[in-house]
Amino acid sequence: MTLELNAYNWLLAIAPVITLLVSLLVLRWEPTQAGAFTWLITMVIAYFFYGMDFRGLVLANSKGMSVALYVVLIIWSALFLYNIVYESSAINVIGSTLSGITADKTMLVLLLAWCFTSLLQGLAGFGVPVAVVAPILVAMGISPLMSVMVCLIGHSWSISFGSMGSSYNAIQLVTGIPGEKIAPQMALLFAICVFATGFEVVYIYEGKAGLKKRILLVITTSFAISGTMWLMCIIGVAQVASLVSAIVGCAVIALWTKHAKRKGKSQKQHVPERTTKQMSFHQAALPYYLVIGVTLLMQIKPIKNEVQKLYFGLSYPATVTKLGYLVPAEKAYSKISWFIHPAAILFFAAIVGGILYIRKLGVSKTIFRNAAHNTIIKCVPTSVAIFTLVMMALIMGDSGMTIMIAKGAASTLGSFYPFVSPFIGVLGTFITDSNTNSNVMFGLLQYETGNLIGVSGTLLAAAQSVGGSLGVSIAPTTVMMNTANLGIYGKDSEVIRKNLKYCLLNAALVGVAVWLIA
Amino acid sequence: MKQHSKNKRMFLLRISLIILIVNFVFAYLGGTLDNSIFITVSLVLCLVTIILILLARR
Repeated sequence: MTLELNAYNWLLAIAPVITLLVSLLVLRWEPTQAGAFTWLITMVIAYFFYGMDFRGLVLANSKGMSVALYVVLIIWSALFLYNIVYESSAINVIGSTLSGITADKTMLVLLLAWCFTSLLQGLAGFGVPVAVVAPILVAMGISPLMSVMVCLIGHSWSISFGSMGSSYNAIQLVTGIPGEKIAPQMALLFAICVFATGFEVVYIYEGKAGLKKRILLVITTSFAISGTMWLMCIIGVAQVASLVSAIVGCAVIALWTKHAKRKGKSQKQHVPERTTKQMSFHQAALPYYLVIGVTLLMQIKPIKNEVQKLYFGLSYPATVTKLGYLVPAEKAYSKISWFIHPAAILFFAAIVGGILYIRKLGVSKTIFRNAAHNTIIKCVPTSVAIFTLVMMALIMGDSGMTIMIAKGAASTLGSFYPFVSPFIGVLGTFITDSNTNSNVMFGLLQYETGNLIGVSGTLLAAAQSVGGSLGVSIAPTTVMMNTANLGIYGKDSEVIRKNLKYCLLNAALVGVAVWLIA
Repeated sequence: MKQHSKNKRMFLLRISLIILIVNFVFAYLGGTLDNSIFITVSLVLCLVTIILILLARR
């Protein structure tokens, strides 16, 4: 690259990030407007200052749309599945069964805010986990503020591998690191977050006294969750790592409740009345069982090899800017496999699950219409925001702006950079309200910075995704959505302020680990 | 009134999303074929999308 590294060029490169920050935090625009405006600013800077011609711009936009399409499809199908389960009242059965396990409230808080939210994150994400679990906690007598706080902190370990791995896929797509390489590193860093968030949930709910009392419970559950997550990543099914490890976490806490009951410490709580009469827990959870089953089935080598041949993926020619920044050609960029892509599996589970709910359990036939309607309402603004932000990130990458930011950060922070890398992930999620968007925005930057300073780019990309996951606990739109949901609209700044210390602590713990490994 | 502005916002965002998807085709063809007409259409559609999204403010 012929563009020299100096303060002027570096400030121009970082201008889109600053524009996004100002429009979101100072001007308080919504992510859709902030994304669109920043996308425009990025195109202007790329064209006038970074030598990108019109062809390069439209190609970068097209690549951005390819990546965005991959992510958006997951979000739409995940929310459609959730809405099918919600419309059929199956979610109430799942929630009430779980909350009826024990009368020990701390165990329930851990079960629901730490594990069940993560289970939902594994399936739907998109603000759904807190929206579902926080009202259940309020119904149990916990204050709305605390309910939102514990849920946000509690499930912040499960975001990257959640929503069938949309954020995990995004980091792979922007950096080009294969899943089998980055997933185990992410799992190792997430282990720290699992332990930390478990203790934090107990601390927020029960204070210091609770920490001593629940130490064994949190440690054993954390080991089970982290171990399962790592195993899922090793066997190549990272897209269900959050889901399966959250299920294991729920099971371990359930075992602890049984153990406590045997000791006479706890009594089984009255299970609230089910809203759908004949529906059992397993029937209610059937679509989710289908998701897990089909995902695992698709990972069997002969099946995977066959279905992988059917995909949609565009090829892109190489481009070079007027300043000589070369972007290599891409073959089958952001490939969407018809049968392996998470959206296909989620959509299949939603359709089959919905039909079974209607046929076998007498659920109203309108669930499909209602679910589709609710999905469109929620997904349109998010999809628009994702499209604009991803295009912005791709223009930054293809024009050489990202590498300029990386070079500047590397030359300023040097060997201290690995510690800072998870904080950049947190910042990305705080700005864009999404782990996926954060990964798209900063994933390549982190990877290239790592390579520049002689640290594993994969490790820094993993730290980016983990930091991005932690940032969800303070993401303004998610917080606002949930405070409004519980009728405490206006308390969002309090939630963000209180959660900030836990989020930064977790990011610091991950930062220290990354720094030590690097 | 509030419902009306919400509907208007949703409508504008839906149109924006549709234009984005249509633009995907123009951007890809324009870039890969190096066709100036497609490139121009794509850039115009980008501007239209940005204006529509900015108009969709709450």
